[in-house]
Amino acid sequence: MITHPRRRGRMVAALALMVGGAMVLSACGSSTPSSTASSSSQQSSSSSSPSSSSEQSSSSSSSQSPSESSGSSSSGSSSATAPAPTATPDTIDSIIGSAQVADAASILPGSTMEKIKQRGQLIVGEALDAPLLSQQDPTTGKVEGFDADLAKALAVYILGKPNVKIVNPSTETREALLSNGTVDVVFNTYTITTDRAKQVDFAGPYFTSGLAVAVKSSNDTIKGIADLAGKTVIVGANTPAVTEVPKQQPTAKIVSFGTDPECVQALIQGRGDAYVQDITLLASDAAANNQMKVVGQPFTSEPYGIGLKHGDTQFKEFVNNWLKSIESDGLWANIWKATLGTVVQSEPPTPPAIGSVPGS
Amino acid sequence: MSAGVRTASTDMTPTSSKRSVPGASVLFDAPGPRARRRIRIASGISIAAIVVIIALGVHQFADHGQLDAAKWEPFTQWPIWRFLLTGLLGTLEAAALTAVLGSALGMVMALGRLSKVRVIHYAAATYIEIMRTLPVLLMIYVTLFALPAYGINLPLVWKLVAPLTVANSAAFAEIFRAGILGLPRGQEEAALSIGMTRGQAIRLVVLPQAVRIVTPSVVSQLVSLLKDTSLGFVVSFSELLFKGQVLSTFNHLLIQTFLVVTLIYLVVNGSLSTVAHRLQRWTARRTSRGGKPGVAAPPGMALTPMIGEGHHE
Amino acid sequence: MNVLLDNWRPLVDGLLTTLWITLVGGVGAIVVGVLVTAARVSPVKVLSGLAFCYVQFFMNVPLLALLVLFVFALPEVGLIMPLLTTAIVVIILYEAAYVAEAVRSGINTVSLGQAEAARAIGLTFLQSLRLVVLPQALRSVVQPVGNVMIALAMNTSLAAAVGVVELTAAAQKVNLVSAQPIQVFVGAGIGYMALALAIGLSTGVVERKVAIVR
Repeated sequence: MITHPRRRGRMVAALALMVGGAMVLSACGSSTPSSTASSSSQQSSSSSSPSSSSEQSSSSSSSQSPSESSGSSSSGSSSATAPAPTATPDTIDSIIGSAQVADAASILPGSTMEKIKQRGQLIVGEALDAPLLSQQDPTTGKVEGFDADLAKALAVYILGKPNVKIVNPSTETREALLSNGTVDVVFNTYTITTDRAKQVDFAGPYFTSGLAVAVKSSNDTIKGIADLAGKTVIVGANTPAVTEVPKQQPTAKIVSFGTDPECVQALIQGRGDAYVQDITLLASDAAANNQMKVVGQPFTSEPYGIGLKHGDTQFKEFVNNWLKSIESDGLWANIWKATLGTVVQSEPPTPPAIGSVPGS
Repeated sequence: MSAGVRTASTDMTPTSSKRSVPGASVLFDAPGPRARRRIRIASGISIAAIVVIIALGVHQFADHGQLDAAKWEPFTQWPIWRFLLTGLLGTLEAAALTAVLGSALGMVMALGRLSKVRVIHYAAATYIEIMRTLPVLLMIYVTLFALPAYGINLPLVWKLVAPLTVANSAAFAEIFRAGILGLPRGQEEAALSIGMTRGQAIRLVVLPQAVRIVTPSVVSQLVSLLKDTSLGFVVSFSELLFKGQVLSTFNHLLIQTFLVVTLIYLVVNGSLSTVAHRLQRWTARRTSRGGKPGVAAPPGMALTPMIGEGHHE
Repeated sequence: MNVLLDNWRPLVDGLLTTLWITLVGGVGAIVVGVLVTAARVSPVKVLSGLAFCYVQFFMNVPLLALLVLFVFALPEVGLIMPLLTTAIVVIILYEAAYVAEAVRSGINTVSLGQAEAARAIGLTFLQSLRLVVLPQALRSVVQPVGNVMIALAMNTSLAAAVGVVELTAAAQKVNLVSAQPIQVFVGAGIGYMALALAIGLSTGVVERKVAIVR
């Protein structure tokens, strides 16, 4: 499909990164129509992984901590998951249920918002396997997490009900999905860059993440990226860590595995000294597994934005206003607490200022 | 996986009756008292060895906490199985597409390679020889990375099915060609002599018999093809192994999940293999009894030699 | 072709790794495969049953799943090996099943009279297998085993999935940096074809050497 050949190639590649070849690649493929089909609930899974790839990490990886997030019903049936924390089943649904609805005046005639309202459904590009951000619970088909719940809140804002249809993008086609109108918005650990801003508009940033270092719990010598010189570092294929670690520590030896659980297993089995991954993912891994811990602070900064169709300033302003309102009325913080906050012992961070990043 | 090449090796296994395994009947006499004692001792030792190894393994495994009930309990739940079985459906879908397209293309290539027209012969032969010596994974990379760079972006399913089809068509071509070559020449000659054209002879006389001979090999190829679809994981096509991956990211139970997935493959492919064996026995019986002389090699040698031969040239 | 020249180092390293896996894996698979076959046709029921299960297991499970299992589950049984070693072991075990099938069908092609004659002159089971049946069987399976070896060479690419940087992984890595997928993959493809060709040719040579003139 569309996408620019050149770029795509490069990115993909990046994603794919060698690594595990195989699995790794998973990320890339998806885009296609078929994948799009999935709608949130029942999904067939189309490919999920990818998503995220580049930026966040692997998406593939994933670990969700169990779920906490999940809200709703899931807990009922699933016990599958590991021990997890928290949030009672209804919390997140009730949080979203209480979300504010835009006043009719802001839904301008002829605007994208009006189109969505008439359709009665918000079409969102988001991952299925990014734990705590946008992860599908295999037992219920529900998709939960920070990104996913924000998307639901936006749906409530426009429609009055959390009616969301999910299209699972792979990193390299998010621009295409937006420009050809397949999706209304993208919530997909979409890092704002000036390059991308030439093809899509970004509302936000609404969250800042970054790569961090995890080690075995017994390891007291590695305290952060600075201690990784000459060490064997495990990274997820398709993640930014693949290129970022050598940039910061050229002497580190990189071993990559396809998925986050594999990386975790490899770390615990001693196939590497450290594991570099997006902090949200590491936090959820560490919460589910007491044999590893996160050390230090993120050493990169990834401002996530909400992807919108290029040139739709009306809609961008609308979404930015919505972000401001949920950030001030506490909804943003509540969603954070119910998702990412379940694995981090701290108060919700202060969201980055809207428009503070070049490209936003 | 590389389907391409597997043909020759997999298919054999003639399990026909006793005659087929000389070992079983001829390599040793019916054991007398001493031999029987020795066999008993050997059996005892092997059983003991196996038991010890398994016990050690299980013990270690348990020691590492991998057998904890909590780690297996999720797999007693229907939703998890439903999730994995949806993946199995994807696997079967991809396998079915590949099987149909690959065997059709393979048949074309086989006939092409047997063609008397030089150009066609060499074209088909080149195609087959190249495609059976390229790793499927590499071909998948091409559809994933190379083609999109040139503006060709296949739908997800096809990113998996297209490379598999190409690789398997070469394998199928060799199977079919071996089947055709395995027929006694007289069949075609007889057909020609009663005034059929070569096309008719092949279509009406040779192919129907050849297809019957190669059925077991085709089924074995299906097993190998089904295994190949696990590469769908690379393109994130929703097949069994990929579903296993998503599940393991969700439940943090990498090892258990992969063990379960392996088990599912084993059951599905095992049943397919059983079908292959049955077919083989059935073909052998039919041909030896029903008097279609010549159609089949004696049970013992069934396909192997023919297929082996196929690769010369 | 510049990309290939500019990045010859990782590509050649990858190729060497592929060659190494193919070589060690091939020899190992043949040895294990022949042993499994011997067990399969032996009079000890337990052994032949075991050999049967072995072949069925490895022929019915995808190599990719096996690789992941061995790399991540074996350490839980107390066996931790370097990634490359693990990959080679898995490939040996996997391909040995195919070798075993090929050899067994080879045994089936040795005519009954041979075995009968061997038994008639008083050879024991092991002797008749070693001196009469296997030598002939191995001759007739040179070609099929050669095909298994080619398949093995192709399958080494899957080792990339567990972090082994062989030819396919190296090509992908170079592609990442250079964004020249066609050249890189064609280059890697030629590498594999050359490898397959070499195996095919040596199979031919071996076959001619051992051929029995009847």
